[in-house]
Amino acid sequence: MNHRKPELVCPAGGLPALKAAVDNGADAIYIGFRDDTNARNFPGLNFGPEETARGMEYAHRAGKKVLLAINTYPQAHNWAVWTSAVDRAAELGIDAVIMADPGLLRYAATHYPDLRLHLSVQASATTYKALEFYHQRFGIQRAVLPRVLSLQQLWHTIANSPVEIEVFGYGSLCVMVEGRCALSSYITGRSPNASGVCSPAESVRWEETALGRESRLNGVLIDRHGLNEAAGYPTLCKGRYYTDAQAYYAIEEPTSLNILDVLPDLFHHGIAAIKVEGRQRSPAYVASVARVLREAIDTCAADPARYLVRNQWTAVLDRLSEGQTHTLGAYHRPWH
Amino acid sequence: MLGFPQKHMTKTFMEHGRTLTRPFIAATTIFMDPVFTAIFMGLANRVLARYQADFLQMEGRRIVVEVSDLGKSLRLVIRRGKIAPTRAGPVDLRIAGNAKDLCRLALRLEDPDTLFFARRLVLEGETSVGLQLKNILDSVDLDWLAPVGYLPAPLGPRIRQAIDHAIRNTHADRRLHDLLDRALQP
Repeated sequence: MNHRKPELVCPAGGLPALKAAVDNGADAIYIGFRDDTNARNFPGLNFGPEETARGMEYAHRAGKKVLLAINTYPQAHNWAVWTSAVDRAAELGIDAVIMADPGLLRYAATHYPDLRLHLSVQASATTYKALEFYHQRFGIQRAVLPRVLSLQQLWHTIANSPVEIEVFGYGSLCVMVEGRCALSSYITGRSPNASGVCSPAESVRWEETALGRESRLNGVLIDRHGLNEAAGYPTLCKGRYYTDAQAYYAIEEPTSLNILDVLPDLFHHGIAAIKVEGRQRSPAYVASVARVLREAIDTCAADPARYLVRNQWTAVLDRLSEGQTHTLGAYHRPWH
Repeated sequence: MLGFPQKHMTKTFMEHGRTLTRPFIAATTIFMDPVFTAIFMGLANRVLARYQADFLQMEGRRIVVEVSDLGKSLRLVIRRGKIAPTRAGPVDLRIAGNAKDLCRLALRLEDPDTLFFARRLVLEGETSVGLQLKNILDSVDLDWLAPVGYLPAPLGPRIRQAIDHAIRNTHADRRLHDLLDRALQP
Protein backbone atom coordinates (compact mmCIF):
# COMPACT_ATOMS: atom_id res chain seq x y z
CA MET A 1 0.00 0.00 0.00
CA ASN A 2 1.34 3.39 -0.97
CA HIS A 3 1.38 6.14 1.66
CA ARG A 4 3.16 8.81 -0.33
CA LYS A 5 1.88 12.34 0.15
CA PRO A 6 -0.33 13.24 -2.82
CA GLU A 7 0.61 16.12 -5.08
CA LEU A 8 -1.57 19.23 -4.86
CA VAL A 9 -2.52 20.28 -8.42
CA CYS A 10 -3.96 23.81 -8.69
CA PRO A 11 -5.55 25.71 -11.60
CA ALA A 12 -4.32 28.93 -13.17
CA GLY A 13 -6.11 31.01 -15.80
CA GLY A 14 -3.34 33.61 -15.85
CA LEU A 15 0.10 34.46 -14.52
CA PRO A 16 -1.06 36.01 -11.21
CA ALA A 17 -3.12 32.89 -10.43
CA LEU A 18 -0.11 30.69 -11.22
CA LYS A 19 2.04 32.74 -8.87
CA ALA A 20 -0.68 32.58 -6.20
CA ALA A 21 -0.76 28.78 -6.55
CA VAL A 22 3.03 28.48 -6.27
CA ASP A 23 3.20 30.87 -3.31
CA ASN A 24 0.41 29.14 -1.43
CA GLY A 25 1.56 25.55 -1.61
CA ALA A 26 0.64 23.94 -4.93
CA ASP A 27 3.01 21.18 -6.09
CA ALA A 28 1.88 21.50 -9.70
CA ILE A 29 -0.13 24.09 -11.61
CA TYR A 30 -2.23 23.29 -14.67
CA ILE A 31 -2.80 25.86 -17.37
CA GLY A 32 -4.17 26.14 -20.91
CA PHE A 33 -3.22 27.99 -24.08
CA ARG A 34 -5.35 30.90 -25.30
CA ASP A 35 -7.49 28.92 -27.75
CA ASP A 36 -10.07 26.15 -27.97
CA THR A 37 -7.53 23.38 -27.33
CA ASN A 38 -8.55 23.37 -23.65
CA ALA A 39 -11.81 23.05 -21.76
CA ARG A 40 -11.78 26.62 -20.37
CA ASN A 41 -11.81 28.58 -23.61
CA PHE A 42 -13.07 31.90 -22.16
CA PRO A 43 -12.39 35.41 -23.53
CA GLY A 44 -9.27 36.98 -21.97
CA LEU A 45 -8.38 33.81 -20.05
CA ASN A 46 -5.34 31.53 -20.36
CA PHE A 47 -1.70 31.73 -21.36
CA GLY A 48 -0.03 33.20 -24.45
CA PRO A 49 3.55 32.19 -25.34
CA GLU A 50 5.17 34.86 -23.16
CA GLU A 51 3.01 34.17 -20.09
CA THR A 52 3.63 30.42 -20.44
CA ALA A 53 7.41 30.93 -20.47
CA ARG A 54 7.29 33.30 -17.49
CA GLY A 55 4.92 31.04 -15.58
CA MET A 56 7.16 28.03 -16.13
CA GLU A 57 10.19 29.99 -14.98
CA TYR A 58 8.38 31.10 -11.82
CA ALA A 59 7.12 27.61 -11.00
CA HIS A 60 10.34 25.79 -11.81
CA ARG A 61 12.39 28.22 -9.73
CA ALA A 62 10.21 27.23 -6.77
CA GLY A 63 10.56 23.54 -7.64
CA LYS A 64 6.95 23.20 -8.85
CA LYS A 65 5.63 21.63 -12.03
CA VAL A 66 3.55 23.12 -14.82
CA LEU A 67 1.00 20.91 -16.56
CA LEU A 68 -0.77 21.91 -19.75
CA ALA A 69 -4.34 20.93 -20.61
CA ILE A 70 -4.90 20.17 -24.30
CA ASN A 71 -8.03 18.31 -23.38
CA THR A 72 -10.66 19.10 -26.00
CA TYR A 73 -11.32 17.03 -29.11
CA PRO A 74 -9.96 18.23 -32.46
CA GLN A 75 -12.16 17.86 -35.54
CA ALA A 76 -10.94 16.89 -38.98
CA HIS A 77 -10.79 20.48 -40.22
CA ASN A 78 -8.81 21.89 -37.26
CA TRP A 79 -6.50 19.00 -36.40
CA ALA A 80 -3.37 21.12 -37.00
CA VAL A 81 -4.35 23.61 -34.28
CA TRP A 82 -4.22 20.82 -31.70
CA THR A 83 -1.00 19.21 -32.93
CA SER A 84 0.65 22.63 -32.96
CA ALA A 85 -0.32 23.02 -29.29
CA VAL A 86 1.37 19.68 -28.56
CA ASP A 87 4.46 20.81 -30.53
CA ARG A 88 4.67 24.04 -28.49
CA ALA A 89 4.22 22.15 -25.21
CA ALA A 90 7.10 19.83 -26.08
CA GLU A 91 9.34 22.71 -27.19
CA LEU A 92 8.64 24.64 -23.99
CA GLY A 93 9.49 21.66 -21.82
CA ILE A 94 6.08 21.45 -20.10
CA ASP A 95 6.22 18.90 -17.28
CA ALA A 96 3.17 16.99 -18.52
CA VAL A 97 0.34 17.42 -21.02
CA ILE A 98 -3.21 16.56 -20.00
CA MET A 99 -5.04 15.10 -23.00
CA ALA A 100 -8.20 13.20 -23.88
CA ASP A 101 -8.36 12.59 -27.63
CA PRO A 102 -6.83 9.22 -28.61
CA GLY A 103 -5.63 10.57 -31.97
CA LEU A 104 -3.83 13.41 -30.29
CA LEU A 105 -2.40 11.12 -27.61
CA ARG A 106 -0.99 8.99 -30.43
CA TYR A 107 0.48 12.07 -32.10
CA ALA A 108 2.20 13.11 -28.87
CA ALA A 109 3.44 9.61 -28.05
CA THR A 110 4.87 9.16 -31.57
CA HIS A 111 6.48 12.57 -32.00
CA TYR A 112 7.57 13.28 -28.43
CA PRO A 113 8.23 10.01 -26.62
CA ASP A 114 9.76 11.92 -23.68
CA LEU A 115 6.71 14.12 -23.15
CA ARG A 116 4.86 13.00 -20.03
CA LEU A 117 1.18 12.31 -20.73
CA HIS A 118 -1.71 12.56 -18.27
CA LEU A 119 -5.15 11.32 -19.28
CA SER A 120 -7.67 14.14 -18.90
CA VAL A 121 -10.94 13.79 -17.05
CA GLN A 122 -12.49 14.62 -20.46
CA ALA A 123 -11.43 11.15 -21.68
CA SER A 124 -14.01 9.81 -19.23
CA ALA A 125 -12.02 6.67 -18.42
CA THR A 126 -13.67 5.13 -15.37
CA THR A 127 -12.28 1.58 -15.24
CA TYR A 128 -8.76 0.22 -14.81
CA LYS A 129 -9.25 -1.68 -18.08
CA ALA A 130 -9.72 1.63 -19.89
CA LEU A 131 -6.60 2.97 -18.15
CA GLU A 132 -4.67 -0.14 -19.23
CA PHE A 133 -5.63 0.63 -22.82
CA TYR A 134 -4.39 4.24 -22.70
CA HIS A 135 -1.26 3.10 -20.87
CA GLN A 136 -0.39 0.35 -23.35
CA ARG A 137 -1.20 2.38 -26.47
CA PHE A 138 0.11 5.81 -25.56
CA GLY A 139 2.21 5.35 -22.44
CA ILE A 140 0.16 7.64 -20.22
CA GLN A 141 1.66 7.94 -16.75
CA ARG A 142 -1.30 9.37 -14.86
CA ALA A 143 -5.07 9.54 -15.22
CA VAL A 144 -7.52 12.08 -13.84
CA LEU A 145 -10.70 10.22 -12.96
CA PRO A 146 -14.17 11.61 -13.68
CA ARG A 147 -16.25 12.52 -10.65
CA VAL A 148 -18.63 9.61 -11.12
CA LEU A 149 -17.02 6.88 -9.02
CA SER A 150 -18.00 5.94 -5.49
CA LEU A 151 -15.10 5.56 -3.03
CA GLN A 152 -15.30 1.74 -3.30
CA GLN A 153 -15.03 1.96 -7.09
CA LEU A 154 -12.15 4.40 -6.72
CA TRP A 155 -10.20 2.06 -4.40
CA HIS A 156 -10.73 -0.82 -6.83
CA THR A 157 -9.52 1.29 -9.75
CA ILE A 158 -6.41 2.51 -7.90
CA ALA A 159 -5.53 -1.02 -6.75
CA ASN A 160 -5.58 -2.35 -10.33
CA SER A 161 -4.45 0.70 -12.29
CA PRO A 162 -1.18 0.58 -14.22
CA VAL A 163 -0.83 4.36 -13.84
CA GLU A 164 -0.95 7.02 -11.10
CA ILE A 165 -4.42 8.26 -10.19
CA GLU A 166 -5.41 11.89 -9.75
CA VAL A 167 -8.82 12.85 -8.39
CA PHE A 168 -10.69 16.09 -7.93
CA GLY A 169 -10.45 17.38 -4.39
CA TYR A 170 -12.26 20.67 -4.52
CA GLY A 171 -14.27 22.79 -6.93
CA SER A 172 -17.48 23.27 -8.84
CA LEU A 173 -19.32 20.16 -9.86
CA CYS A 174 -21.03 19.79 -13.18
CA VAL A 175 -23.45 17.08 -14.18
CA MET A 176 -20.43 14.78 -13.77
CA VAL A 177 -20.38 12.99 -17.07
CA GLU A 178 -17.16 14.65 -18.14
CA GLY A 179 -16.19 14.05 -21.71
CA ARG A 180 -19.64 12.72 -22.51
CA CYS A 181 -21.75 15.81 -21.86
CA ALA A 182 -23.34 17.54 -24.83
CA LEU A 183 -26.17 19.20 -22.86
CA SER A 184 -25.07 22.75 -23.63
CA SER A 185 -24.98 22.08 -27.37
CA TYR A 186 -28.77 21.63 -27.35
CA ILE A 187 -29.24 25.21 -26.27
CA THR A 188 -26.11 27.09 -27.41
CA GLY A 189 -24.88 24.92 -30.28
CA ARG A 190 -21.54 24.46 -28.52
CA SER A 191 -20.23 21.76 -26.21
CA PRO A 192 -17.20 21.48 -23.90
CA ASN A 193 -15.61 18.68 -25.92
CA ALA A 194 -15.55 20.50 -29.23
CA SER A 195 -15.44 24.18 -28.25
CA GLY A 196 -13.88 24.03 -24.82
CA VAL A 197 -16.82 25.78 -23.25
CA CYS A 198 -20.29 25.03 -22.00
CA SER A 199 -22.52 28.08 -21.57
CA PRO A 200 -20.35 30.40 -23.71
CA ALA A 201 -20.45 33.93 -22.27
CA GLU A 202 -22.09 35.43 -25.35
CA SER A 203 -25.10 33.15 -24.74
CA VAL A 204 -25.43 34.09 -21.05
CA ARG A 205 -27.64 36.92 -19.79
CA TRP A 206 -28.42 37.89 -16.23
CA GLU A 207 -31.15 40.28 -15.27
CA GLU A 208 -32.01 41.61 -11.83
CA THR A 209 -35.80 41.77 -11.63
CA ALA A 210 -38.32 42.37 -8.86
CA LEU A 211 -38.53 38.57 -8.48
CA GLY A 212 -34.76 38.10 -8.25
CA ARG A 213 -31.87 37.32 -10.57
CA GLU A 214 -32.94 35.68 -13.82
CA SER A 215 -30.38 33.59 -15.71
CA ARG A 216 -30.91 33.06 -19.40
CA LEU A 217 -29.00 30.84 -21.76
CA ASN A 218 -29.52 31.77 -25.39
CA GLY A 219 -32.77 33.47 -24.38
CA VAL A 220 -34.09 30.48 -22.44
CA LEU A 221 -34.82 31.09 -18.76
CA ILE A 222 -32.87 28.45 -16.81
CA ASP A 223 -33.14 29.80 -13.26
CA ARG A 224 -34.42 32.58 -11.07
CA HIS A 225 -32.72 33.23 -7.74
CA GLY A 226 -34.66 34.93 -4.96
CA LEU A 227 -33.23 38.04 -3.34
CA ASN A 228 -30.63 36.49 -1.04
CA GLU A 229 -30.51 33.02 -2.49
CA ALA A 230 -26.98 31.77 -3.26
CA ALA A 231 -26.40 31.27 -6.98
CA GLY A 232 -24.17 29.16 -9.20
CA TYR A 233 -22.84 29.08 -12.75
CA PRO A 234 -25.39 29.51 -15.56
CA THR A 235 -25.14 26.01 -17.03
CA LEU A 236 -28.04 24.06 -18.39
CA CYS A 237 -27.42 21.20 -15.94
CA LYS A 238 -27.72 23.54 -12.96
CA GLY A 239 -30.97 25.21 -13.99
CA ARG A 240 -34.26 24.70 -12.18
CA TYR A 241 -37.04 23.08 -14.15
CA TYR A 242 -40.71 22.33 -13.66
CA THR A 243 -41.51 18.68 -13.24
CA ASP A 244 -44.96 17.89 -11.81
CA ALA A 245 -45.61 21.64 -11.50
CA GLN A 246 -42.70 22.03 -9.10
CA ALA A 247 -39.51 23.87 -10.04
CA TYR A 248 -36.31 22.34 -8.70
CA TYR A 249 -32.79 21.29 -9.65
CA ALA A 250 -33.91 18.34 -11.72
CA ILE A 251 -30.44 17.54 -13.14
CA GLU A 252 -27.74 18.89 -10.83
CA GLU A 253 -27.55 21.25 -7.87
CA PRO A 254 -25.11 24.14 -7.84
CA THR A 255 -22.57 23.01 -5.27
CA SER A 256 -18.87 22.30 -4.87
CA LEU A 257 -17.03 19.08 -4.28
CA ASN A 258 -14.91 18.97 -1.12
CA ILE A 259 -12.95 15.82 -0.19
CA LEU A 260 -11.40 17.02 3.09
CA ASP A 261 -13.58 14.50 4.97
CA VAL A 262 -12.03 11.50 3.19
CA LEU A 263 -8.44 12.72 2.90
CA PRO A 264 -6.94 9.99 5.15
CA ASP A 265 -8.66 7.32 3.03
CA LEU A 266 -7.24 8.84 -0.16
CA PHE A 267 -3.76 8.76 1.42
CA HIS A 268 -4.26 5.19 2.56
CA HIS A 269 -5.24 3.95 -0.89
CA GLY A 270 -2.32 5.71 -2.54
CA ILE A 271 -3.83 8.54 -4.52
CA ALA A 272 -1.05 10.28 -6.49
CA ALA A 273 -2.53 13.73 -6.82
CA ILE A 274 -5.44 15.90 -5.71
CA LYS A 275 -6.75 18.38 -8.21
CA VAL A 276 -8.50 21.69 -7.66
CA GLU A 277 -11.08 22.80 -10.24
CA GLY A 278 -11.30 26.37 -11.51
CA ARG A 279 -9.01 27.80 -14.18
CA GLN A 280 -11.79 30.36 -14.72
CA ARG A 281 -11.48 31.62 -11.14
CA SER A 282 -9.39 34.55 -9.88
CA PRO A 283 -5.95 34.55 -8.20
CA ALA A 284 -7.73 35.22 -4.86
CA TYR A 285 -9.65 31.92 -5.18
CA VAL A 286 -6.54 29.96 -6.15
CA ALA A 287 -4.58 31.40 -3.21
CA SER A 288 -7.29 30.57 -0.64
CA VAL A 289 -7.98 27.04 -1.89
CA ALA A 290 -4.29 26.18 -2.29
CA ARG A 291 -3.57 27.37 1.23
CA VAL A 292 -6.37 25.33 2.82
CA LEU A 293 -5.59 22.14 0.89
CA ARG A 294 -1.84 22.50 1.54
CA GLU A 295 -2.50 22.72 5.26
CA ALA A 296 -4.96 19.83 5.19
CA ILE A 297 -2.64 17.56 3.18
CA ASP A 298 0.34 18.36 5.42
CA THR A 299 -1.73 17.82 8.57
CA CYS A 300 -2.97 14.49 7.26
CA ALA A 301 0.53 13.41 6.19
CA ALA A 302 1.91 14.18 9.65
CA ASP A 303 -0.56 11.89 11.40
CA PRO A 304 -3.45 10.42 9.34
CA ALA A 305 -4.95 8.68 12.38
CA ARG A 306 -5.48 11.93 14.27
CA TYR A 307 -6.49 14.00 11.26
CA LEU A 308 -9.63 16.08 11.72
CA VAL A 309 -11.17 18.58 9.31
CA ARG A 310 -10.82 22.05 10.84
CA ASN A 311 -13.92 24.23 10.81
CA GLN A 312 -11.82 27.08 9.48
CA TRP A 313 -10.93 25.09 6.33
CA THR A 314 -14.55 24.25 5.63
CA ALA A 315 -15.60 27.86 6.21
CA VAL A 316 -13.02 29.22 3.76
CA LEU A 317 -13.92 26.65 1.08
CA ASP A 318 -17.71 26.95 1.48
CA ARG A 319 -17.52 30.70 1.08
CA LEU A 320 -15.84 30.24 -2.31
CA SER A 321 -18.24 27.50 -3.39
CA GLU A 322 -20.97 27.57 -5.94
CA GLY A 323 -24.27 27.71 -4.06
CA GLN A 324 -22.03 28.26 -1.00
CA THR A 325 -22.33 24.62 0.01
CA HIS A 326 -20.25 21.49 -0.48
CA THR A 327 -20.74 17.78 -1.08
CA LEU A 328 -18.76 14.58 -1.39
CA GLY A 329 -20.57 14.00 -4.67
CA ALA A 330 -20.46 10.49 -6.08
CA TYR A 331 -17.66 9.50 -3.67
CA HIS A 332 -20.29 9.29 -0.97
CA ARG A 333 -22.68 7.13 -2.95
CA PRO A 334 -23.53 3.94 -1.02
CA TRP A 335 -24.58 2.03 -4.16
CA HIS A 336 -22.29 1.18 -7.07
CA MET B 1 -28.30 48.60 -25.36
CA LEU B 2 -29.77 48.77 -21.91
CA GLY B 3 -31.00 51.78 -19.98
CA PHE B 4 -30.88 51.58 -16.20
CA PRO B 5 -32.89 53.92 -14.02
CA GLN B 6 -31.03 55.91 -11.36
CA LYS B 7 -33.93 55.26 -8.96
CA HIS B 8 -32.80 51.75 -8.08
CA MET B 9 -29.32 52.90 -7.07
CA THR B 10 -30.58 55.59 -4.75
CA LYS B 11 -32.75 53.06 -3.01
CA THR B 12 -29.89 50.68 -2.31
CA PHE B 13 -27.80 53.62 -1.12
CA MET B 14 -30.44 54.37 1.51
CA GLU B 15 -30.74 50.73 2.52
CA HIS B 16 -27.07 50.13 3.06
CA GLY B 17 -26.17 53.62 4.24
CA ARG B 18 -25.56 52.52 7.78
CA THR B 19 -23.02 49.85 6.94
CA LEU B 20 -20.56 52.20 5.26
CA THR B 21 -17.04 52.32 6.58
CA ARG B 22 -14.64 55.20 6.17
CA PRO B 23 -11.74 53.77 4.13
CA PHE B 24 -14.07 52.56 1.41
CA ILE B 25 -15.89 55.88 1.20
CA ALA B 26 -12.52 57.61 0.97
CA ALA B 27 -11.13 55.19 -1.63
CA THR B 28 -14.26 55.24 -3.74
CA THR B 29 -14.78 58.98 -3.48
CA ILE B 30 -11.20 59.64 -4.54
CA PHE B 31 -11.59 57.24 -7.44
CA MET B 32 -14.84 58.89 -8.52
CA ASP B 33 -13.32 62.38 -8.55
CA PRO B 34 -13.02 63.37 -12.22
CA VAL B 35 -9.38 64.48 -11.90
CA PHE B 36 -8.35 61.26 -10.16
CA THR B 37 -10.45 59.20 -12.53
CA ALA B 38 -8.48 60.71 -15.42
CA ILE B 39 -5.17 59.91 -13.68
CA PHE B 40 -6.27 56.35 -12.89
CA MET B 41 -7.45 55.86 -16.48
CA GLY B 42 -4.08 57.05 -17.75
CA LEU B 43 -2.26 54.61 -15.48
CA ALA B 44 -4.69 51.80 -16.25
CA ASN B 45 -4.26 52.27 -19.99
CA ARG B 46 -0.48 52.12 -19.62
CA VAL B 47 -0.70 48.91 -17.62
CA LEU B 48 -3.31 47.49 -19.99
CA ALA B 49 -1.49 48.51 -23.20
CA ARG B 50 -0.33 44.94 -23.81
CA TYR B 51 -3.94 43.75 -23.76
CA GLN B 52 -4.95 46.06 -26.61
CA ALA B 53 -5.97 43.15 -28.82
CA ASP B 54 -8.48 42.08 -26.14
CA PHE B 55 -9.78 45.61 -25.76
CA LEU B 56 -10.21 45.98 -29.50
CA GLN B 57 -12.63 43.04 -29.35
CA MET B 58 -14.74 45.11 -26.94
CA GLU B 59 -14.52 48.26 -29.06
CA GLY B 60 -17.32 50.76 -28.49
CA ARG B 61 -18.79 48.98 -25.44
CA ARG B 62 -20.16 51.26 -22.75
CA ILE B 63 -19.89 50.09 -19.18
CA VAL B 64 -21.29 51.48 -15.95
CA VAL B 65 -19.82 50.55 -12.58
CA GLU B 66 -22.28 51.37 -9.80
CA VAL B 67 -21.19 51.67 -6.19
CA SER B 68 -24.59 50.83 -4.80
CA ASP B 69 -24.08 51.92 -1.18
CA LEU B 70 -22.63 55.28 -2.21
CA GLY B 71 -25.18 55.91 -4.92
CA LYS B 72 -22.35 56.76 -7.30
CA SER B 73 -21.46 55.39 -10.66
CA LEU B 74 -18.58 55.46 -13.06
CA ARG B 75 -19.28 55.40 -16.78
CA LEU B 76 -16.66 54.03 -19.12
CA VAL B 77 -16.32 53.39 -22.81
CA ILE B 78 -13.80 51.28 -24.69
CA ARG B 79 -12.51 53.32 -27.59
CA ARG B 80 -9.56 52.54 -29.88
CA GLY B 81 -8.47 49.74 -27.54
CA LYS B 82 -8.41 51.97 -24.45
CA ILE B 83 -10.68 52.72 -21.52
CA ALA B 84 -12.06 56.26 -21.32
CA PRO B 85 -14.61 57.97 -19.08
CA THR B 86 -17.88 58.83 -20.75
CA ARG B 87 -21.13 60.65 -20.04
CA ALA B 88 -24.56 59.33 -19.20
CA GLY B 89 -26.37 57.28 -21.80
CA PRO B 90 -27.37 53.73 -22.57
CA VAL B 91 -24.87 51.05 -21.53
CA ASP B 92 -23.94 47.56 -22.74
CA LEU B 93 -22.79 46.24 -19.37
CA ARG B 94 -23.74 47.12 -15.82
CA ILE B 95 -21.55 46.08 -12.88
CA ALA B 96 -22.85 46.87 -9.39
CA GLY B 97 -21.65 46.16 -5.88
CA ASN B 98 -20.97 47.93 -2.61
CA ALA B 99 -17.85 50.05 -2.06
CA LYS B 100 -16.13 47.48 0.14
CA ASP B 101 -16.59 44.59 -2.28
CA LEU B 102 -15.56 46.66 -5.30
CA CYS B 103 -12.42 47.85 -3.46
CA ARG B 104 -11.57 44.26 -2.51
CA LEU B 105 -12.11 43.20 -6.14
CA ALA B 106 -9.88 46.00 -7.43
CA LEU B 107 -7.11 44.92 -5.01
CA ARG B 108 -7.62 41.29 -6.07
CA LEU B 109 -8.38 40.30 -2.48
CA GLU B 110 -11.71 38.88 -3.57
CA ASP B 111 -12.84 36.37 -6.14
CA PRO B 112 -15.58 37.86 -8.35
CA ASP B 113 -17.34 34.51 -8.85
CA THR B 114 -17.59 34.16 -5.06
CA LEU B 115 -19.25 37.59 -4.80
CA PHE B 116 -21.52 36.71 -7.68
CA PHE B 117 -22.63 33.42 -6.06
CA ALA B 118 -23.25 35.31 -2.80
CA ARG B 119 -25.41 37.85 -4.72
CA ARG B 120 -23.12 40.71 -3.76
CA LEU B 121 -22.10 41.45 -7.33
CA VAL B 122 -24.47 42.27 -10.17
CA LEU B 123 -23.62 41.78 -13.82
CA GLU B 124 -26.22 42.73 -16.40
CA GLY B 125 -26.01 43.18 -20.14
CA GLU B 126 -23.25 41.72 -22.29
CA THR B 127 -21.86 38.95 -20.09
CA SER B 128 -18.95 38.26 -22.45
CA VAL B 129 -17.66 41.84 -22.04
CA GLY B 130 -17.82 41.48 -18.25
CA LEU B 131 -16.04 38.14 -18.37
CA GLN B 132 -13.36 39.40 -20.71
CA LEU B 133 -12.72 42.46 -18.51
CA LYS B 134 -12.55 40.25 -15.43
CA ASN B 135 -10.11 37.87 -17.08
CA ILE B 136 -7.88 40.70 -18.31
CA LEU B 137 -7.76 42.30 -14.86
CA ASP B 138 -6.99 38.90 -13.33
CA SER B 139 -4.12 38.33 -15.74
CA VAL B 140 -2.38 41.69 -15.23
CA ASP B 141 0.95 40.80 -13.71
CA LEU B 142 2.27 43.85 -11.93
CA ASP B 143 6.03 43.59 -11.90
CA TRP B 144 7.15 46.32 -9.51
CA LEU B 145 10.78 45.32 -9.88
CA ALA B 146 10.93 45.61 -13.67
CA PRO B 147 12.62 49.08 -13.60
CA VAL B 148 15.39 47.70 -11.34
CA GLY B 149 16.03 44.93 -13.82
CA TYR B 150 16.62 47.53 -16.56
CA LEU B 151 19.58 49.05 -14.69
CA PRO B 152 22.89 48.32 -16.44
CA ALA B 153 24.13 44.75 -16.09
CA PRO B 154 25.44 43.17 -13.96
CA LEU B 155 24.20 45.59 -11.29
CA GLY B 156 20.48 45.73 -12.26
CA PRO B 157 19.82 42.01 -12.60
CA ARG B 158 21.81 41.31 -9.43
CA ILE B 159 19.92 43.86 -7.32
CA ARG B 160 16.69 42.53 -8.72
CA GLN B 161 17.64 38.97 -7.87
CA ALA B 162 18.60 40.02 -4.33
CA ILE B 163 15.24 41.77 -3.81
CA ASP B 164 13.44 38.77 -5.32
CA HIS B 165 15.19 36.46 -2.87
CA ALA B 166 14.48 38.76 0.06
CA ILE B 167 10.75 38.89 -0.83
CA ARG B 168 10.65 35.14 -1.24
CA ASN B 169 12.49 34.38 2.00
CA THR B 170 10.51 36.78 4.16
CA HIS B 171 7.18 36.11 2.39
CA ALA B 172 6.85 39.89 2.33
CA ASP B 173 4.30 39.87 -0.51
CA ARG B 174 2.12 37.31 1.23
CA ARG B 175 2.30 39.27 4.49
CA LEU B 176 1.30 42.46 2.71
CA HIS B 177 -1.59 40.62 1.08
CA ASP B 178 -2.76 39.24 4.44
CA LEU B 179 -2.42 42.65 6.08
CA LEU B 180 -4.59 44.26 3.39
CA ASP B 181 -7.03 41.38 3.57
CA ARG B 182 -7.45 41.82 7.33
CA ALA B 183 -7.76 45.60 7.04
CA LEU B 184 -10.51 45.23 4.42
CA GLN B 185 -12.37 42.29 5.96
CA PRO B 186 -15.31 41.15 3.84
